[in-house]
Amino acid sequence: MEFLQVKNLSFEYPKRPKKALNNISFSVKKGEFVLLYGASGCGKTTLLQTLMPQIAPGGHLSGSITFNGKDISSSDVGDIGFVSQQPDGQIVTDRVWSELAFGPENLGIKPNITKRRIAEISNYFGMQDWFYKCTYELSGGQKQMLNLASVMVTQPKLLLLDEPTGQLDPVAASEFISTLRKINSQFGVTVVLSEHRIEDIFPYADKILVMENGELLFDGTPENACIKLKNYNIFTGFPASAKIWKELDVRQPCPVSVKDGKNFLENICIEKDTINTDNPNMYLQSDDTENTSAVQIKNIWFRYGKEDKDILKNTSLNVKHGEIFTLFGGNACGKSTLLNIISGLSRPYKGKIKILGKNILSYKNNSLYQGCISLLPQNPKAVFTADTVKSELCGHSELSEEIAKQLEIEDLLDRHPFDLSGGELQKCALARLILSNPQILLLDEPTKGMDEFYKNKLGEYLRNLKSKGKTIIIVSHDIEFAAKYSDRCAMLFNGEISEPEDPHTFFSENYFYTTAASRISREIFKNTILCEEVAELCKEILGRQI
Amino acid sequence: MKAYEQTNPIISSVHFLFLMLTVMFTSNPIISLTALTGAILFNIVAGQARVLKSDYKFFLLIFILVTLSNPLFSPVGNTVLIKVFAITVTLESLAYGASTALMLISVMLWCRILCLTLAGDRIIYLFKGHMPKLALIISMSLHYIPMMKREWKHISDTQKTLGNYCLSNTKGKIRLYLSCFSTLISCSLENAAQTVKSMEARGYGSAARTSCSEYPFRFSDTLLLIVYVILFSSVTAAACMGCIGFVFYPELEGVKTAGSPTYTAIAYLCFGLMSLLPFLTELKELVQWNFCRSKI
Repeated sequence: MEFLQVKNLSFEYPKRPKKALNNISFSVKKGEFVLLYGASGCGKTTLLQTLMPQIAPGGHLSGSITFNGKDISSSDVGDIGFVSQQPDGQIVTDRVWSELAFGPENLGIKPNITKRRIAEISNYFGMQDWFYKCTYELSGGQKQMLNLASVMVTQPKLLLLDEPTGQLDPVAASEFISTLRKINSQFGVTVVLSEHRIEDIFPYADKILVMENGELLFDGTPENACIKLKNYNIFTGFPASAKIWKELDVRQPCPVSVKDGKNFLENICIEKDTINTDNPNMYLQSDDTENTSAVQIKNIWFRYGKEDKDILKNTSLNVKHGEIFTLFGGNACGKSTLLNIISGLSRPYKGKIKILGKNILSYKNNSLYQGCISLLPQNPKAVFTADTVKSELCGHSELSEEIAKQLEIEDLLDRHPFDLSGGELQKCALARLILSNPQILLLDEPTKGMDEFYKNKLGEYLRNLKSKGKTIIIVSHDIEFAAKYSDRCAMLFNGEISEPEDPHTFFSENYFYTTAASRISREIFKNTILCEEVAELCKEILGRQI
Repeated sequence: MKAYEQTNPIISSVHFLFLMLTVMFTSNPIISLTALTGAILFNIVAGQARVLKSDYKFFLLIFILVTLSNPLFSPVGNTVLIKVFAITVTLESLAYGASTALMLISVMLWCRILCLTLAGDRIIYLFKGHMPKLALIISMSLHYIPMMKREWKHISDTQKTLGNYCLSNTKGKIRLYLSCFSTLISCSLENAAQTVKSMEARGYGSAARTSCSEYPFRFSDTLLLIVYVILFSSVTAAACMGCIGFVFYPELEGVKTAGSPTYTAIAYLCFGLMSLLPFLTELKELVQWNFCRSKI
């Protein structure tokens, strides 16, 4: 008997023309790890929410869902756990321990049992050090871990997770995912996880469900997913090794992990010693002798309070005119602080900053923000104060229609900004920034929570802006995006910025902090950081071998 | 502040209540001074000496202001010191003002101690047994307020960089803050909707809520409670018998005892013990720790 069975499930939100879910059928066995994949707005969240009766959205539902042999509406509370994307919104109470106790208290479990369960769970999740902390003091990764733990406390049999790592940095995300895998393998808890970043989780899933426009496109193993879907748009988000495999079109099973990808490449390029493996892209660097600095930071020091630690120590940075510059760094290393300093919101206590050749202090009133600098904040909702996207944009200039067209947000203009998905919101906020025609754009985590399709659109748009002479500074965790679109990268660590380098040098020299394509191909090729580059070189080699 | 933090929150609140009732209803400067001494000593032993030192100017100011302002309102008393315009300043009203100021400062210091000992989850514990919903609401607001503060900073920073508003005049600033406020409200409503979902998903309202209290009622707590009740009732009894009065008007007489002076002495002693107990428990812990460490 199947553990979770969904039959002909359709769902319609009231007053919306299209069905959100259309005739979906699948089944999940006990203890399976299921990955739900699909572009933004394809109905993943709706599907996950309908699987949990307590939070099922209101609307017209048809079809049947059986859980553990019974109809899902008669399942016990606590049998199904749900973790969503927003770390903050899910937390109810002010302390870590009381948050953990919240679920069992709701279910009327006796205090001594609750206490033991809390003790167990905080040991398992390694939460002893922050057990008494206030929940608002936690980092994003800790918050999501707490959300997972406080769901696990009621010992659910099925875990539903809706893009749980969407707001986390890669390190915290992989920690979260590995905890999830541990729970799945050690306790046999069935997991249904929806995710945009699937590079690391893909090979471990027992089953992949792929959705498109409210319909189930695919249901099967990871390997089969690669074979079946290789000609679909959705394939752009698949793991790097699968993408390389697709480009090469050889008769070999599809590799889905970095490890498999490495073996696959070595099998193909047998004669690797005899060929020149230097990537030609390396010599395609633009000559930059003519460029002057757009942003020049010289030996700045910064800390928040008199007694606090220095966040930036003697930091210097030069960002040239008309380049896309990406700054990496761990959580809370001061990346966002640096953006605040460049945008004049915080002032360093030592050092000099020049914006477009002029000292930042000489920009009086609003002149820095009018045609000079714009900042896209981490939470783009902060940009919007009006009821619709249109009134936010049109209040400012006649350019708005043209910009809306370029960013493809014309359909979104009449919606409330808070109803948009992450990617859509990001684009609308960007449109608002560009209206003030800034020379320098500062973007704080612009690809957070975006799917691959949206990312590529955004990347193309940024390139377009660059060609118009704008300077773009990105602070990000998204290695793949930076490798593809940025001109130079640098790393901020311990208050200092490393020497900026072009992405090929930067990523091929890094071992941990690099793209999947580079990890796969580094022993065979030099300086390949993108799937396309690897595939191209392989094709060349294959051509010669024949 | 280790030992006092370990006492049950109910005990610390009861103690606080007893102390404040006595201080406020007797309006006796000796009582106020005793309470003040207890508070200062506790603050010092609890490692708050630095805060106290930086705040003493503020307390001094309060003392002077309250003392001097009393003659403005009550020109009663026999010993006239000075006459300024229509205001008669008497020794008695000055003394009464000083006494009130002492009372005020000691209440403030004790409130601070209560805040220190009843931080965050300890205050919730007080309500958990009988008013679980109220406890949850307090806990949720304690989570929400810092979150909204952070959100506010984020929104206002962002709006500043958008350059919509002229920040050099007040009108522009007000406009900026108004629109930030509306965004903040939308954001927090969004968040609240999320929280509701999360609460329902975790079974809120599906069964009778239990409460898993973090603070056990120990034997020492019971003992402490009994001691406090005895001390407080003897002080109250003495006060009712008029043993711990203090006469300001019409002439400053000072300590007045209606009954036998033994009662008065006992009452003052009891109150002194009540205000010094937290300090003594803390001190005992400190000595014990140092003693143990010297043996290790």
